[in-house]
Amino acid sequence: MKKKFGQYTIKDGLSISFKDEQITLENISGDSYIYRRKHMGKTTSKTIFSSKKGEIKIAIYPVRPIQMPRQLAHNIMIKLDPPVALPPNSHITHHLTMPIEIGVFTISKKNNYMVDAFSLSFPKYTLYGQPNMGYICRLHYSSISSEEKTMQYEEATIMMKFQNKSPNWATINKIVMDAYEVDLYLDGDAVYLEDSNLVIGEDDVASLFLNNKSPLRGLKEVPVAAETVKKFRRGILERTGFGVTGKFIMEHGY
Amino acid sequence: MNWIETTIPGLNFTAGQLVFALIVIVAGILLGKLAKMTSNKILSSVMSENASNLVQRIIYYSMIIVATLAALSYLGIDFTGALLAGGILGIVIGFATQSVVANLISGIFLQIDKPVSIGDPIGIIDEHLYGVILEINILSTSIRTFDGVNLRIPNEKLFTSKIHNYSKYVARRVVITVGIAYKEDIQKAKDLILKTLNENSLILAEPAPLVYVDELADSSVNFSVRAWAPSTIWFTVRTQVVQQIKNMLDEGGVEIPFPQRVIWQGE
Repeated sequence: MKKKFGQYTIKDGLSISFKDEQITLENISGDSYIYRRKHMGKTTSKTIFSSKKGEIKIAIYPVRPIQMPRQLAHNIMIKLDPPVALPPNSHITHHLTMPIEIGVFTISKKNNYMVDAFSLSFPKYTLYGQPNMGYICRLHYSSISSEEKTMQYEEATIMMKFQNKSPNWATINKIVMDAYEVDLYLDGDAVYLEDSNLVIGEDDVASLFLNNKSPLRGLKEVPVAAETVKKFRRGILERTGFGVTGKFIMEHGY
Repeated sequence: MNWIETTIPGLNFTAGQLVFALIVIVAGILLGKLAKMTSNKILSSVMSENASNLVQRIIYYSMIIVATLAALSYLGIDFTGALLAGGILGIVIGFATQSVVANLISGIFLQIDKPVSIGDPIGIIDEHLYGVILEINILSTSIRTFDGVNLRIPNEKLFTSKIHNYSKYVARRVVITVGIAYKEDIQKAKDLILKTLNENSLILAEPAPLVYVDELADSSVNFSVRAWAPSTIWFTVRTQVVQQIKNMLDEGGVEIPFPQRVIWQGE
């Protein structure tokens, strides 16, 4: 099967399908292009842009699942089905899944521009914590397995190391992470979350660590997507108080 | 004798003393500006822009007043009479500017208490006013009402009113009443409404939506539909959901009745 994620140099046109979504790029005059996204034949997104060289560079990559249907939340909650029960002072690694979206970018030397982002899965949101002090999160249900089981172009694989440092048994029902902290890695069209581990501390509070490195050897970090969110990542982190890079304290339980 | 030591006619001080007093006042203004700039850097990180501006102005004018009083005192001007006159004048001004002072104090408390912030959609319940906060000034607050009118409300009025802040919390509940005909299957209607809520991506999965029979009314069995949505899009979600529930009940063949009255006619 031909790889879909990557960069394309286009002179005449392009057409790529992801399940029910079809994206096309068409040259409408010497230096103008029209981008269309069709959902089951019906156009849902349209952008016109131009290029001085008579060709245009496009990148299609997985992005963090926070663009669709609109930017409502920057947190992701992964509900574990079934929950993971950990004995005191133990650790285990499981494969989970998280949602992704597909981003379409125009590429230039100076900067990249996100033309469109779409999700192949139905986005649903939830509240983590209480209405007065909680967080709106993109919700995802994940099964747990010892091997990779993802829906291609809809999900990324998480290789999560669960660690219980407390003297009590811990049952982990959900994982919450800040999407602005998330880096994605690619192996062809297979998507992976960066190396991560969830630690239940001695105080029974769960902390999620995103370790800013590949979870497996030979994976490449998604090259474009990161730039679009890194700019306002810092501002959001400062405002919400999550100033520690790569760490999310699950203060409202797990 | 040079001009510095020359006594100004009609006054009890020399030109040199006057120049020095003026230097003190200018130094006070410069120090005030310096203090304002320094405090801006410190305060902007710990309080809102409006509160920070207010404190900066207080610091600035206080330093000018202190410098001016020091300069006048240096020139030997006696304040006893001025204080007496000022006291009486103060009482007069105090009565005349009661509302101004009340608004000023309320403005300060609005900054400290922070019941509202710029950009918050709010409702002032007693006044039936609804809109988005544009600006909180020393004496008044500007609100853009939802019908696009700029409204200036005195801070005292705002501070002492019942305020609903619709974006203080991240999630807000949508409450809708839906009536179905008495002949309809209650469980079927309830399932259809819950399906509608679950299929709307903007209705939060948790807290879980709740649908229950709330009232056996004159013409219909009324459900109370309660679901949570992100506060920022509450209005959009509410309008979507009402229409979606109506469509879903129509598709499911569940009747939403008109008001009915049974009339018994005697023979």
